[in-house]
Amino acid sequence: MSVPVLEVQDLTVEYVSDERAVRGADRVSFAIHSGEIFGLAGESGCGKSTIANSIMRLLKDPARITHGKILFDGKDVLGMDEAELRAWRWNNVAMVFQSAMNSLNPVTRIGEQFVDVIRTHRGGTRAAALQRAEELLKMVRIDPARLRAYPHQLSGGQRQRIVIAMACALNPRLLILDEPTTALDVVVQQEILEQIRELQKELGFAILFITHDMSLMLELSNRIGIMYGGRIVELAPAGILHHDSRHPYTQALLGAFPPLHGPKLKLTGLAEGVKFTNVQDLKDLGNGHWVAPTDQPVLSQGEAL
Amino acid sequence: MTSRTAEKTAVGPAVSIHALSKSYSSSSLFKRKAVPALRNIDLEIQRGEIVALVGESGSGKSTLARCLALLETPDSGEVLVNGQNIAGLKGAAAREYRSEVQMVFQDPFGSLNPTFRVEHILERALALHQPEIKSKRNEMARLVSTVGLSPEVLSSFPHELSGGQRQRIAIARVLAAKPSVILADEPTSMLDVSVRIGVLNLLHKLRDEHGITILYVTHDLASARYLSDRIAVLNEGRIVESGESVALLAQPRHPYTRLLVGAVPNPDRDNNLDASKRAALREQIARWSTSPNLKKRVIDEANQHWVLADEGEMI
Repeated sequence: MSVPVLEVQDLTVEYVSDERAVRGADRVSFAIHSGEIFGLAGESGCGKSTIANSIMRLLKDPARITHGKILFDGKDVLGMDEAELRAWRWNNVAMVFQSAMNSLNPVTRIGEQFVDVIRTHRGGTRAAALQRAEELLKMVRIDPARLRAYPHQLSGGQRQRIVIAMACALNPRLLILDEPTTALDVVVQQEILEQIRELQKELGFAILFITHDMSLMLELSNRIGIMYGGRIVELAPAGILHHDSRHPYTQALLGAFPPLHGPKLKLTGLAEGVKFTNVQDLKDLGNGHWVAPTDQPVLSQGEAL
Repeated sequence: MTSRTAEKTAVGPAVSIHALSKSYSSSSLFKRKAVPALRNIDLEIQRGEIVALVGESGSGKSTLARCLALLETPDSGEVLVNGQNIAGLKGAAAREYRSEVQMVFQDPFGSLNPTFRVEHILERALALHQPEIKSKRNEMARLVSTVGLSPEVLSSFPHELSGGQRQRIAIARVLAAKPSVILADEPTSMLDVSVRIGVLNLLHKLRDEHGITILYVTHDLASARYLSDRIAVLNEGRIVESGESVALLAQPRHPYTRLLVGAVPNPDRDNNLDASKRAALREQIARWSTSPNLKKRVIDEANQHWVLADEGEMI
């Protein structure tokens, strides 16, 4: 197999205070191959954003990467100095943050913000940067005339598409999307996802997709890792995870999204106070399906409501 | 209290809304204009029924719940709860009404006072709504066990509890008022996903075991289908389609409902709405929403399924 675009090996991130250290990510390993959409799913506090920020080397004190490796195209990301990082970010990996639509500068026209990104990371003339910005807006189906608009003149969905277009401006090999559609209405969400798929087809980048919404995740991703308490508890191709999940936490997440068709069946979420402690290393079940062994019982789903 | 018990045994719908309209005024420097939030709403909810109001942000669903909670005054129309007109309720009558109709809010972090223990929060609600109860301690223990928590949470502060636990406490506080109607406005959207279904199951149990009528306000079609008996779809302040939940979502007729159903992420779906189909639906929605010839058409009598459609168009 070819070298993966991104390889995370045994990554441990700790948030250190005077008295104690909290593990935000605990011995996490996964790889993303060229053109693949890899999803990380889990609830607030499970460490999925910590992983994304580690990859981008955006962690600030008190967070510390205490163990593990991050390789991009085989190159050690954790070993890069500031200058190398500046050259690497956005050119190779771009990130769309949670509620990114509010991350645009409110007092600068959209076009200027594109120019800023493109010239900072790639240089070139203003005119060339503007031309590229026009191409990008067309790709996300927004009228290029809107480059003269200020962010407040655009809807939430339009701003989100602009932020995604901006992330794609320099043809990165990997795009990190951290909850890219949270706080958007479903119809807008659907359009954004379509846009992402189209852009991916056209530009061929790989995606690290982060969300808590399992139905969204299953629809978009090729492979999915489920995170709990800083650890990956199950990792599998989307189809296998959907129909043959083995970890009770994965099942609780899947059960949190009732279906829109078929008979109404009673679902059971995770009971209040259920905790998985001491999550063990993943075991290989074949076909790319890995799961952490646990003694917690499998959830019973499916009696009539 | 006699009037309350008398009403509870009365027949007829729990909530009955006729021709309700409400607009907000939006003013800029030079012009004021009224933005309609609710337009001519008719809705009946039977006793012990769970009805879901679904729609996107700005569709008017929260405004409708807030009118029922006396938090907004409608411009016109009539709301009867247990047969009583709620317009102009004041003083003792308003207080009594608020015991009858309780609200569960979206944010369990903001709706519980952080400086008091859970027991204080529940005790206050009991003292206010059920002053006749002598042994508050026992009643509070019963309330928290009804919402699926152990009595130990009584001595906790809200910040010591998880979001799901807090929302359960908020529901226990609602139950302390012995309501006949609960208005639940996006009660699970701020909770961690794995505990959401537990809160929905709890609401379902309250209906089954206590016969409480529930109006469930949400943007999430899947959870609306899961919890409710009937769904009413709101678009631009109008109920555009309504019917038994499963039947309605299996055969949505209004273009807006079809647009929403088509947009819900669904890994099992084979017929995805593409951009051109969506554009066609949008155009139809716009045409219908300005049409002067809107008419309620019954699709399926048995499932109370109807749609507000343009008279001239086939559906």
